[in-house]
This record gives sequence, structure tokens and C-alpha cells, in this order.
Amino acid sequence: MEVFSNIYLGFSVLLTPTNLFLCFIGALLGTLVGVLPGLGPIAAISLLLPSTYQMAPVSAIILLAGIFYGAMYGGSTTSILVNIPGEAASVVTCLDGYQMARKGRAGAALGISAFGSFIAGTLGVLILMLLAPILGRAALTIGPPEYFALTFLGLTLVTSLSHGSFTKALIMAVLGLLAGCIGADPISGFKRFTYGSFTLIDGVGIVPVAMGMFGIGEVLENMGQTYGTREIYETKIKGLLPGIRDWKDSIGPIMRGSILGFFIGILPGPSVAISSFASYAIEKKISRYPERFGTGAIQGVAGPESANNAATSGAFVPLVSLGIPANVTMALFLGALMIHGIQVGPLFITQYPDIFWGLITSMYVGNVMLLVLNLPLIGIWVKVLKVPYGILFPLILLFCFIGVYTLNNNVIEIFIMLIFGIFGYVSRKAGFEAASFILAMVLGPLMEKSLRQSLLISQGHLEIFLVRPISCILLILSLASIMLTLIPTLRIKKETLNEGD
Amino acid sequence: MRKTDTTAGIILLATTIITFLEIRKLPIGNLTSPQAGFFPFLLGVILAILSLILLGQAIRRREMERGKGKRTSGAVSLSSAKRISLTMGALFILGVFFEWMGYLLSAFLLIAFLLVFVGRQKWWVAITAGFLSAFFCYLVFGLLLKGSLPTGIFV
Repeated sequence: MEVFSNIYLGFSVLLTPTNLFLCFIGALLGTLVGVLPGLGPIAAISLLLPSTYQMAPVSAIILLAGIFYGAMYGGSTTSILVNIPGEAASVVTCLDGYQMARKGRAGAALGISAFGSFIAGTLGVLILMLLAPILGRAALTIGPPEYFALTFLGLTLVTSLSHGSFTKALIMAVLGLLAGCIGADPISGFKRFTYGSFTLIDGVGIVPVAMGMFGIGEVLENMGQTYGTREIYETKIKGLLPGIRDWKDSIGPIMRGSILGFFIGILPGPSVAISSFASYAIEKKISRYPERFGTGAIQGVAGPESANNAATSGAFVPLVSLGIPANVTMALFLGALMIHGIQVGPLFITQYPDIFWGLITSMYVGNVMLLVLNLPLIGIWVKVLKVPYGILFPLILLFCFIGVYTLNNNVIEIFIMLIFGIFGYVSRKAGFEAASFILAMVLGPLMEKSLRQSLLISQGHLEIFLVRPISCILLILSLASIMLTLIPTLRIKKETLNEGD
Repeated sequence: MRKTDTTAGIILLATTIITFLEIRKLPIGNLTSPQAGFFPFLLGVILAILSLILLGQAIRRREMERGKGKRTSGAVSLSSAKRISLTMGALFILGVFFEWMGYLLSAFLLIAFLLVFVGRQKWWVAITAGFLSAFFCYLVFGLLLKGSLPTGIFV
């Protein structure tokens, strides 16, 4: 019964003209961002964060959440029509989605992608609604050692699952933790790494850093590529409503993808992208005709697209129940809530029920809006794809520039953004991933506070992390993820050395 | 990539040295009573170790490549470097004069400059886009979001 009264509260918060409008704008912008390669939801959320300062907290979160799950819908459009994934989570959709388009079945691919995403998004919201309050209550029983172990697990998972070198991912994580130390120490008030700057006393804000590394950094990286015209599969897109055969083939992958995607979404790291890969692998494994995958199998579209949408709901679980962001996008959400003075933690759901339940209902309504938007507007998205990047990138830079200034009317923050833009670009070129840095920067203060509190409680005995069961299990999982990453690397190195001999 | 890793390793070691120089000014405490410098000190040590590992990997790769006669290629083309330098230069200069010029003139100049000199668009396209962008900024940031942006010379 409590759930129903909370849902009623959520709808009463959402069903105002302003919040409904922002939900629509968020979904629309998210789809646009997903359609446009080179501009991801992280960059888009970073760009819009300063603008939300003037809004009520619940309105800001509704807008930003719309962008997040909207981008998953939009990303599939470019994967299917252009064979270029709009988002990392849509890479797998290229494998079968584009092949379906080449066979004249672009409509079916786009349709099942939209419907699958809607079903998965709805299921994800339902599970989030039930699970998050339970986890939030359980979180009240955990203390500083568990928080330290959780943040440690988050960082090790992100670094283990990053592309490329594990050493480089670790380095970025450590640099991010150091960046999180800039400013006044929250316990003693000592100024650390401020170099006499008043701006840096409050630390390096997540917004200038995120806008720099993901907004400016991504634009600079795209500048390094030539602006060719994209080859868009020009075919009359018909038959957007899936047929009975399509539904029969897709309903299993959709349901499996939804459940799988949600629970992978809870895990720290690039879980949204991982969920789509995992779903594809599972569908191919259990299929009676695995040889059809890669040639235009509808299951190869339905499963991954459902998984990545469900994962966006799952990603909210650690944030709203524990106050720990599982990935960079959630870290930006945390930043958005902090800008509005909202303390995120285990008491978030009970202290701010209007924000939590308003968010839940907006995700449901947003999924309905996205289903309605994506099917009739596909023609418009195709036209948008034809806009040359040479026209788009100055607008992105302008938005970054003005957006970061509106945060605190501080020109220094513009320069911080530009410096991190260069850092983001150079580190990407050198094979260092930005995601580890940002997540570490956001988790760093919590990690440090938990570590120092744990050592104070235990009077310097490190066994406190091992004698408490939850903390011990989390640290063992962290160690396992590191070993699972290192062991194949060591094996490859040994084989390379043997070849040399 | 091997040369990049060597450079990165050296820069990271330099960063570690700078970090330790700053940490000297802070109380570190001990395990029983960790102070403001405790966590940064720990991170500094870990960063130093990782930097040395990265350098070691880069050196070992160089020896292996020497044996196989491989060479790594450069990462950024000259035209890309030029585009990037122009863009960042424009942004930094704009940052210096932003409050004096105001956001409308800044928007116009940034868009027009980038479209002409980086995007290689025609002048009339750049000027039109510049005006439209300035107008759009006024609509969004000035009217809709009511942000307090500097009006600069238009006061």
C-alpha cells in the first residue's frame, strides 16, 4: 500500500506543466544526443548541468534523466541506419541492425528496438521502484569500513573493465583521487593543493572537469578525424510496427535483456555498454541458429537494446540507495543534486521522497514519450544525421563555455574547464581513459573520509576491513576483479616472451 | 605509443614530485590518527610506483620493437594539430576578454571564427551562424534560464 501512495506522490510531482515539459525536453534532447555521433549523454548532461541551477531539484533531475535514457533510444537509430554507433551501448546493435537495414528491414529493426527499449525501460523502473527503498534501509546498517570497501570496489571494477592498459586506467584513477583532494580538507580544514586560489578552496568542481574532459576533449578528438560525409542507408523506411513473427522471435530476448541489463546496470563501471554486449553474447549462445547472428537476426537487436535501456534504471540503484555513483553519468547526477544542496545517501529516499518518486514516475512517462517520439520522427533524425560536424562543434564549444560560467559567474572555472579539456584530449590520445578519472574524483572524498573514520574507529588496525563481513566480501570481489584482469595479461606477456625466444 | 608512454611516465613522475612537495606542508599523522596529508601521501606513493611500472613497460616494449624492427607512428596529423591549436587558442583568448566583451559578442565572435578558420565554412555562413548563435544564447540563457551573464560593452 505504501508503494501506491508513493507512486501517487510521484505522479503529483511529475504532472505539472513544467515537469512534464522538462521530461519531454529531456527525452527529445537525449534522443538527439544519441543520434549524433560525437556527442554522448555524458557530454550533454555536463553541458546542461549549469542550466539546471535555476530549476527546482526535481525538475533538474527529471530533465537530466530524460537525456540519459533518451540517448539509448537515439543511439540505436545511427547503429541501424549508418552502421555507426551513436553511443558505446549501441555498438552491438550495428552487428545485426545494419544488416537488417541492408535487407530492407530497417523499419522492423527500428521498431523492435523502440518497443524493446520501452518494455525494458518500464520493467527497469518497476524493479528500481521496489529495490531501491529496500537497499536504502539496508544501507543504514553499514558504516565507514563498508563505504570504503564499496568505493574501492567501484574503482577497481571501473579500471578492470576499461579499454586498453590496466596500468593506465589505475593511473587515471589515482590522478582522479588526487584531484578530489584539492581544496579544504573536510575534517581538519587544511588547504590542500590550492596554491592560494580562493576558487580552489572549494575544490575543482565536477562540472568544469566533466565539461572539459567529455565536452571539449571529445570535440578536440573528433577534430583529429576528417569530416567526411556519412553514408546513410537511403531506403524507404517502412513497416515500423513489428509483425507477429518479429514479436515471437524478440519477446524472449527482450525479457532476458531487461532483467540482465537491470542487474548489470547496478554494477560500477561502463555497465550500460557491458549489458548490451552480455545480452548479445547470451542470445547468440542460446539461439538454435547462432550462425544467423551478424547477418540480420532480430534477436541481435532486441536483446541488446532492451538490456541497455534496463541498465539505465539499474544504474540509479547505488546512487539513490547508497549515495554512490556507479558510473560517470551517475557521478554527474550526484553533482547535479549537490549543486541544489541535496545530500545523497541512504536517507535520500526518506528525506526527499518527492525527488525520488518524481524521478521514478518521470522515467515511466519518459519511456512512453520516447516510444511515441522515436517511431514517427525517424525521418527527422535521419536529416539531423546529415548535419556536418564542422557546423555542430562550434555550438558544442559555445555551450560549454557559457554553461560553465553560469554556474558561479567565475572566469577561473572557464580556464579550469579548458585545461581539463586539453588534459582529456591528450590523455585519450595516449590511451588513458577519462571515465576512471572522473569517477575517482567524485568517489575520492567519500573514500578518504571512510578510510580515515575507519582507522580512527579501529585505532589504526587495518583488520577492521576484514573482520566486518560486508567489507571483507567487497574487498575480496575487488581483488578478484584485479586478478581476473591481470592473469590474462600476464599469460599474453609470457607467450610473447616465449615467441621471442 | 611507446614514445608517448615514456613521456607520460616522466610527466607522471614529475607530478608525483610536485605532489610530495605540497604534502610536505601538511600534517600526515599516522594509522591511528590520519591527518590531512595522509590520503594524498598514500596516493603519491601509489602514483610513483605506477609511473615506474609504465616507464618500465615502455622501455621493455622499445627493446622488443628494436629486436623486431618495428616503429610506432605519430599520433596527430599536422592539420589536426593546427585545428586544435586554433580552437584552444580562441577559447583561451575569449576566456580572458569574456567579461569585458559580454556573452553576446563572445558568442558571435567564437562561432564565426571557428566556422571560418577551423570548420572552413564560407564567410556568410559563419556570420549568419554567429548572429543566430548569439540570438539563441540570449533566448536560452538570458530569457529562459535567466542566467546572470556579463553584458560587457552592451551595458
